[in-house]
Amino acid sequence: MRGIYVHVPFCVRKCSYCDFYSVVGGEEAREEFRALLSVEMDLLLREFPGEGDAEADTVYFGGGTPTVLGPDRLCGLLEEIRARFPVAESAEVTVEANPGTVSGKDFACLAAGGFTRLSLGVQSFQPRILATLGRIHSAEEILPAYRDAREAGFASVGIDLIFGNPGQGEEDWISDLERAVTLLPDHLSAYALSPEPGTPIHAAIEEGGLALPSEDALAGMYSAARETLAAAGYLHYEISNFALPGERCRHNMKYWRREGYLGLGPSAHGLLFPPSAPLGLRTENPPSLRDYKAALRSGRLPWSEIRNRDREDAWKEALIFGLRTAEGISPGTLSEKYGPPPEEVREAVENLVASGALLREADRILLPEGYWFVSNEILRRFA
Amino acid sequence: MRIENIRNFSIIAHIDHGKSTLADRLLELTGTLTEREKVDQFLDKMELERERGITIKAQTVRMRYRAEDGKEYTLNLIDTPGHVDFSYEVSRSLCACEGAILVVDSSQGVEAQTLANVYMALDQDLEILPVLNKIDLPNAEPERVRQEIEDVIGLDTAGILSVSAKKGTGVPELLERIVRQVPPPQGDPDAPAKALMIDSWFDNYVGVVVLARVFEGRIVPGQRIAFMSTGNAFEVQKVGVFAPHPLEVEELGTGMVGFVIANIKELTETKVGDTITDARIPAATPLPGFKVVRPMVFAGVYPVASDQYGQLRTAIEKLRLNDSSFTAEPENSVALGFGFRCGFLGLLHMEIIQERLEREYGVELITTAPTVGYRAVKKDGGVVEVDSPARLPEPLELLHIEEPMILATIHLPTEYLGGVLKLCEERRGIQRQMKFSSVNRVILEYELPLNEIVLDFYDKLKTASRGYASMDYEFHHFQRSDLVKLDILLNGDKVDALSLIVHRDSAYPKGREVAERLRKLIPRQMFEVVIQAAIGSKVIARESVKAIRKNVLAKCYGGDITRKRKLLEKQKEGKRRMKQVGTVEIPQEAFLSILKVKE
Ligand SMILES: Nc1nc2c(ncn2[C@@H]2O[C@H](COP(=O)(O)OP(=O)(O)OP(=O)(O)O)[C@@H](O)[C@H]2O)c(=O)[nH]1
Ligand code: SF4
Ligand SMILES: [Mg+2]
Repeated sequence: MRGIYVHVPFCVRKCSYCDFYSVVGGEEAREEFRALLSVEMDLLLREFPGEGDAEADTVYFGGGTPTVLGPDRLCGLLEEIRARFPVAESAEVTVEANPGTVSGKDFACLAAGGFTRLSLGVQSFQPRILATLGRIHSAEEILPAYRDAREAGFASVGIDLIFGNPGQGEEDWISDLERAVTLLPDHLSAYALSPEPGTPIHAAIEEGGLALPSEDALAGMYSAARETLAAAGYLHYEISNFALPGERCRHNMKYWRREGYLGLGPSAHGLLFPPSAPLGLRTENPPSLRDYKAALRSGRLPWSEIRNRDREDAWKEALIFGLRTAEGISPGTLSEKYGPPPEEVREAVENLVASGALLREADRILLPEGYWFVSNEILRRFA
Repeated sequence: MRIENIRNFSIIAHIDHGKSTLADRLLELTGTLTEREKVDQFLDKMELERERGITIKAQTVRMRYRAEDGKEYTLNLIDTPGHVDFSYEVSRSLCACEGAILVVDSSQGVEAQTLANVYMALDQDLEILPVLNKIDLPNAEPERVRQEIEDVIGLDTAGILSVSAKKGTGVPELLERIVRQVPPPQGDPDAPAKALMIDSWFDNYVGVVVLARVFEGRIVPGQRIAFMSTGNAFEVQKVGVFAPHPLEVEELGTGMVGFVIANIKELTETKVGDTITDARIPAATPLPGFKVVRPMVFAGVYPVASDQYGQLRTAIEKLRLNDSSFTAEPENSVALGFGFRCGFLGLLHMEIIQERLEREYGVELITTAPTVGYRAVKKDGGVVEVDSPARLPEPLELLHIEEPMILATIHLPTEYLGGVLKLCEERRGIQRQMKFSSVNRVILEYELPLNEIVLDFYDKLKTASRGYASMDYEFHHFQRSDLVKLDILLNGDKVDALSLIVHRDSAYPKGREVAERLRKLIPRQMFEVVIQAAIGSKVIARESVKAIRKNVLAKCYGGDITRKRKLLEKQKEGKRRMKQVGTVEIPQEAFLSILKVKE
């Protein structure tokens, strides 16, 4: 089973911390994008006919702000996908949405059109922080959006939060967490803000206008999230993700489990397992609508980068990303899939297990939760 | 070339007085260098020499010169380094010469190495030609400096030449003086070959190349030559000179300096200072060779990657061909694995060797803090040479420790006397002499513990004298002293490569300083790192590096996989130069910089 990811490269306005590829775009660009996606899928099928046989059990519309396209286009796109690739009856079909871009009616349309899961970009309940983050929505818009989504009947609704914002204290964060929990979302992502070079917030921090909380404060916030959410019944199943039992995001799990997914739309990445690359072919679309379009118009797949993975890559990726999750990895299963681990990797795992930095549980290897917030210290050994 | 027409001379001077620049002018005037090849300090060919603007290796060049007397002469010039750490290069070069040009910067005067080098030249009975250099400088004081040469060195300065190596003024006259005043070599061209090996290096294509000065007989291709100390014999393939580029010649006759290639592949078969002779008709006695130099400081040299040990060993063997003044013995550290305990003539020498090993042979190194060589006297009467804190006998066996004392000669203008005296006293110095060489110059002689000067004394001296003091030193004697071993523990484990031997009086401040320094150097890790300095079982300083709290890629989905992996690769690269000791990762600089001076 594999997933399908669609990157919708439009937003109402850029948030101050955002380094995803998205543009404002007009009605025309949106319409054109929808057409281009079909061209991309057709080209893919022409060059990799085998991809038409693999059934997808997850579809994910991310962005950007997919809901900027409007429910009709989104549902239409889903149809286009289903027309070309087999999508399981029980598939998880997620759409990301931001408060302030969708009405109750929109949500109802989406749910009726086959979307089963909604991921709502809340980020914070505090006006001051929303302002720093440059979000388009106000704190007041969150609750109605959430209620509308619930009423629309999505099987699963998730909320995204950001902590470690400039000027945010631990109490601010705990209050955000508590507000989130009272909404009873099925899923909750809590990300530490990581200002990327090139974003306005990064510049403001560099110039000294804004200051991030200290490392100790951030670690405190992370623990607070773990504790608050555990108490509310959420399982901490990945470094930044929490879910009620049975509500893990199946699509995202594929990334960490190194399962296949198609990446459609500008800046989307994919992982295919065609016969020519049994250990994986990573594809990257350019983060530019123009380049994306130019390629498709000239009859080429818009891949700006393709990497054929070898055994070493496969193992390293499986460890680096698999150890982010609570389930960890199974060396036995990986050996079956990829062949035996490279010596360097095997040794690193053994040493880490011996020093207690990794845990061996039955046939699995895990990164103890206590290390998750410093996980790079461990994972870099597999880079 | 008739032996009467050969002149062999070195250019010697205090550091920076203009030796290499003068060599440039001589090369140009004799047409040895083409217009196109001219660069400043042409003979400083090594990358490190150019970067640092100093000469490290002595260089030999053969020049041809038609003198005013109408005859053509062969001039063999050796440009030598001025820094005290490389004085071994100077002494070896002088063995190949009959004369020495003593360059004195006329804006500075007689400095410590001016004197030290003159003494070496006098030891060899060389003809010394003093020259006043840099007379183009507005602050040149040729008359004062001339007087100083008379008074301090005792050389006759009547008719001394004033030159500007930079502008070329006076250099033509100097060439004539060389021809007239430097005696031609002596030696019987028909006697069995007898040549002194003054330098050597390894060439990947031809093997060991030997630089030799022929004292008797000659060396020609096809000849079987033997090294007298080992008896090993080889067939000469090529001989040649540097003019300035390698130039094959038919023979190296008596009095000549040049290279010999004889298919020598084994690195350990040749030794600088050895006598080369004809294998079939050997000379009766070898030449005196060189005095063995004694390393002043020692440090552990380890490969960063333990699988580079073999490579390091070969690199050391090859480099020792080219610089026999550093020593190397295998050593083994719990913290750093297999490596070598190396002896150097000084800190600059140590730095240069380390850099050459890394650059010329591509091995990445960790160097431990330098230490001087102590002597431990045991209760059973045994004496142990302690060139590493790890070799210090257990306290129960130990009677006492002796430390090396040096005799330092410091030249300085009188106005800085106060500061310099204070510095010497602080460093446990004992004044032996104070001599006023002129109205405003003074020469101090101090006995000092080598330990106190190795690290930062020179910098301190320069600061105390605004750069005007110069210093030369030599080993003097061993002296019993109250020394203790200072151990460093990380999370309770002693790190052998971080131990130091220090004077008991400075143990506490040193311990605190080292612990603090390490705290700043050791990056935060997954757990707290406790740093302790201890004498025996007594902890005298404690610091800690708090555990790292955050190092995470918060968001990581399908689109990020390659980028995130690259980020981690970068972090990994950053850690590569770290050494894992027990569970603690220590940056390489820690091993060396624990001894650095307080900023
Ligand atoms: N003005 C002036 N500068 C000179 C003269 N001779 C040398 N210099 C400068 O003095 C500096 C040192 O010159 P070098 O020729 O490298 O001195 P050195 O004696 O070979 O130095 P070491 O080999 O390191 O001991 C350089 O900056 C030269 O340009 C001179 O006659 N006049
Ligand atoms: S809504 Fe999301 S994708 Fe759009 S600008 Fe903000 S952070 Fe970026
Ligand atoms: Mg020089």
